Amino acid sequence: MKPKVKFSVALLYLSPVIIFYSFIFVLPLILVFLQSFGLYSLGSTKPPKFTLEYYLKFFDLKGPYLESLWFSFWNSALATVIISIISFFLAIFFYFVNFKGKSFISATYKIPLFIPYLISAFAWWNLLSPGGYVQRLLAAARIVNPNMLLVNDPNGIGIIVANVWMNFPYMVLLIIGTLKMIDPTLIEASRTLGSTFWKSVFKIVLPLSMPGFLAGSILSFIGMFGAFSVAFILGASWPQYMSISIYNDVTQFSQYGMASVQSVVYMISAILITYLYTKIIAKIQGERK
Amino acid sequence: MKRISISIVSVAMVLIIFFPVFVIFEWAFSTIWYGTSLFPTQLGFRSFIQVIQAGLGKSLILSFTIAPLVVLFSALISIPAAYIIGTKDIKSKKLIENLFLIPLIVPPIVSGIGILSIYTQLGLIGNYMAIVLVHMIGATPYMFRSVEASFESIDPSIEEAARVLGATRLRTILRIYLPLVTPGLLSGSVFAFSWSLNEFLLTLLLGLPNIVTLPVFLYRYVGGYYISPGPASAISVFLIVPSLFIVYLMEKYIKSEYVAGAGIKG
Amino acid sequence: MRGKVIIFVALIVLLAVITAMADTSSGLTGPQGPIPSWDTVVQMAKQEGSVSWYAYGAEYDKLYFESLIPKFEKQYGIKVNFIFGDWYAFLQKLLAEKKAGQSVGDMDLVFTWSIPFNDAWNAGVVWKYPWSYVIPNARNIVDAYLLQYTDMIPTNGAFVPFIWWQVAFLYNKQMVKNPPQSWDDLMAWVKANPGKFTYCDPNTGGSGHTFLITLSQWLYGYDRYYNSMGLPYNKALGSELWNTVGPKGYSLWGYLKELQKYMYQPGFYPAGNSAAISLFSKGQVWLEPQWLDVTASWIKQGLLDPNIVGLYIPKPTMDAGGMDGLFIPYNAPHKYAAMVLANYLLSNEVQTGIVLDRGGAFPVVTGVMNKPEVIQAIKTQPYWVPLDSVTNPLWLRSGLYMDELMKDWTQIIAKSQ
Repeated sequence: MKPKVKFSVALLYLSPVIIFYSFIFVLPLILVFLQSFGLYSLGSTKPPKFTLEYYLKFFDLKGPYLESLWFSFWNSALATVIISIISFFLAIFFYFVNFKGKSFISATYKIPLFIPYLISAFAWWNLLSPGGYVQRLLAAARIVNPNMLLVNDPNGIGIIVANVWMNFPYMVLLIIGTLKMIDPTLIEASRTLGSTFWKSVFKIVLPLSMPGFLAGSILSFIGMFGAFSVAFILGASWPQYMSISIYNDVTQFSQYGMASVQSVVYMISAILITYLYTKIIAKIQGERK
Repeated sequence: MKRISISIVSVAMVLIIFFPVFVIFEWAFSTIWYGTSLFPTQLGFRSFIQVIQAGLGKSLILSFTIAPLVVLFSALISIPAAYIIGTKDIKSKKLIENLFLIPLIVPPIVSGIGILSIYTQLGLIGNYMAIVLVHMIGATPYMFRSVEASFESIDPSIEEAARVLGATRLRTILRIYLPLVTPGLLSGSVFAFSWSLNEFLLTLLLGLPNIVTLPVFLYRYVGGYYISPGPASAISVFLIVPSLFIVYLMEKYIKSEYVAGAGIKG
Repeated sequence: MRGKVIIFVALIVLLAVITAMADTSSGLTGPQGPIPSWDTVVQMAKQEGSVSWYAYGAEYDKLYFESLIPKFEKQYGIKVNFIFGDWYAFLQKLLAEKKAGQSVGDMDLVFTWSIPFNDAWNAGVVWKYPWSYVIPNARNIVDAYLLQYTDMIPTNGAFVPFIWWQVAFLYNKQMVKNPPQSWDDLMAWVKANPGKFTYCDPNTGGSGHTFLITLSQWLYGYDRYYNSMGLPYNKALGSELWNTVGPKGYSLWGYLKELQKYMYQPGFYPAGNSAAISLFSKGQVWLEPQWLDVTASWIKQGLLDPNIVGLYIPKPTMDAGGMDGLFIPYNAPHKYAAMVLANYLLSNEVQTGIVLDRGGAFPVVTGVMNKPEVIQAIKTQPYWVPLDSVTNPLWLRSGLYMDELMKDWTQIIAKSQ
């Protein structure tokens, strides 16, 4: 039984963290928020003046910003779905199957975790560019049209491939973690009652491991949603991930107003998605019980 | 049937993982490789020499001195917070834990442009300690979560016992808790260290031209406008080889739970 | 006790007064009135003892600039602090310093290009003294006009060109026997060879925006843009002109949209000079606008097979430059040393080195192109075009219109998929 402690006492212990994040995180976000309304000048020497013009420009249905936000969302979501499917089967494989050399394979699949995103993105850019090994293989095997662009392309194919490669090890580990929490006698019981291995997996393992893995996958998705280096190396001129659009507005065009509006919307989207997602999972779990 | 599918999965895994690594090594050791040929036509060490002369050593030193500082400071500010949240029952515990996730949810570019303005006005652009602070933003949540999990798992009666025996709270933390939360500190340090080592965007925005960490050094060769695959790959080799060692060592000696989420973000 | 306090305070006041009166750095104010003699300048520079040179470019540019430093340091005994970064960050630093009222900065000599220089000038962070008339080697500049304008943007003598980068048409010698000899032939060639032409995103690569501005000058007539001889910059020119059909039978946006249909992967624009030349080196495209120096670097790095490289200037011409150059910030602490370094960079020796060692860029001073070893190099190395194909006629990039073109292009062409 943990002793109860008043929040005001806890504050003392939390103060280093609170002070740190207030200056290095909260304050900059406030400035960005103010700039989005024209009330603060991030970089230019324009005098502050309240305006909604940046927001209006952002929400213009014919404009590029909403498109950019949508692209960031569906591209990352698709990658997350693909990762989830692949990782689930791989996790089952690693959890239930034992074979010689398993330790080596088990270490091998973790390698992408230790390679910086920038390097992985660059490697996949090499492999998927016209004339790259993977592009040649896929074209020779007639899986893709030889003329089809696989990187810097308008569908973000290269971004998805690189994201999958970089993030599936984390998901596999996550799912294995949830598998370990399932009572193995449940599966045994299902097998003795006549179900095949795969039927047991789908009827028992999947539903039981789902909540844990869904909860963990949101961080993976949000990470990809807000990432920069992958989209930078593998993305096309258009459509752009919102992170790239913001970066360009700040570094090339000195458009701080639009950069900050995009940032505000980007941040709120990420937080909103996370919140809704966790609420939905909690609801599903609640209904289950 | 089972035997075959095991082989297929294993071979596919090895190929998929090592293909990108292979192509990096190819580029690193090539001196002539025209776009139309399948393989380099001439090999050599030119790319390695080039990046060493261009300041690889300085970048290595910067990256590997900043990272430990990030670990140290994020541990310093996380431990008291993890202690109070992990060992006590506080009303807004869940809220606080969720708040710690926010730095990981908010896209780095968003805080980046705000910090850019603040740092520019304070003259902190390119400042070493200022970059350490910025790396701590993403490293601290991981450190906190790991250490808090460790604190959570400790029996609260231990502290009670120590108190009864007359120890002050500080002494309790230092003498009793710290040794017990070492696993959490260790894995938190791994996450924080790798986060710092691979932090790219904020260092790019705020560190130039003085603080050229490894990712920023690499970016100079792959950043959009100028692509030099040879030197970029040579730098990558310097990072990949130690990583491969670590991965295989960890598999042998450390449980995989600690590896989970050593997410290299960027 | 009181006496001691009074003396103490008086000493402090005296110290403050002396400090305020002391010349913090002679370089800080630089020459003020009439142009000083060069000997005076060199003397003051040596007293300053050091200079911070900030430059941007690709990695091979960094290596090249660094190679120039040792000789300068030896000759003048002035230490060079070389900082390599990106032009945007340099501008931001100066703007922030200005905003904070910082009168002493870190940057003495800044290498940049026309548009950021213009931004810097408008923000008041450029040292406005016409120092290009102080340095003796500037008298050898190929055209005196370049001391007053860069890409047609007025510099008032505060900007000195350093390197003449040049864009040309790069074509695959093995696959293409008849490249389009003039701008008139370009559209027809691209239509006859679909998927074999590209140009890079003008916002990420200069070969793209130089191509665009020359194209628009060809479509509407160079004299519609030439704005240094009395024709002022007309901000509305873009929206007036670029949608209307010109004497060549196309509007600018109409031409580009038509061209796009037959380009490599229509709608796809390589993100930068390197991305464009990468496609070329892979044989994916056979014709593209490209910098001579990027071509030179790729050949030297073993990435581009020189046997496929063909370079030429389509008729009537391709815009010359940009001639990227150097300015001195308003708060530079070593202005004299900055001038001495700039003068050194314009020396015959360094400018000849640009041609022979760096390769793919022209000198900005006279007395280099007529040297026998230079003539020989230009004839034999694969990354050159004859200089007179660029200078007859000589067209320059209209910097301010080019800036607009870049922004409009993203909206009208890139996002029109």
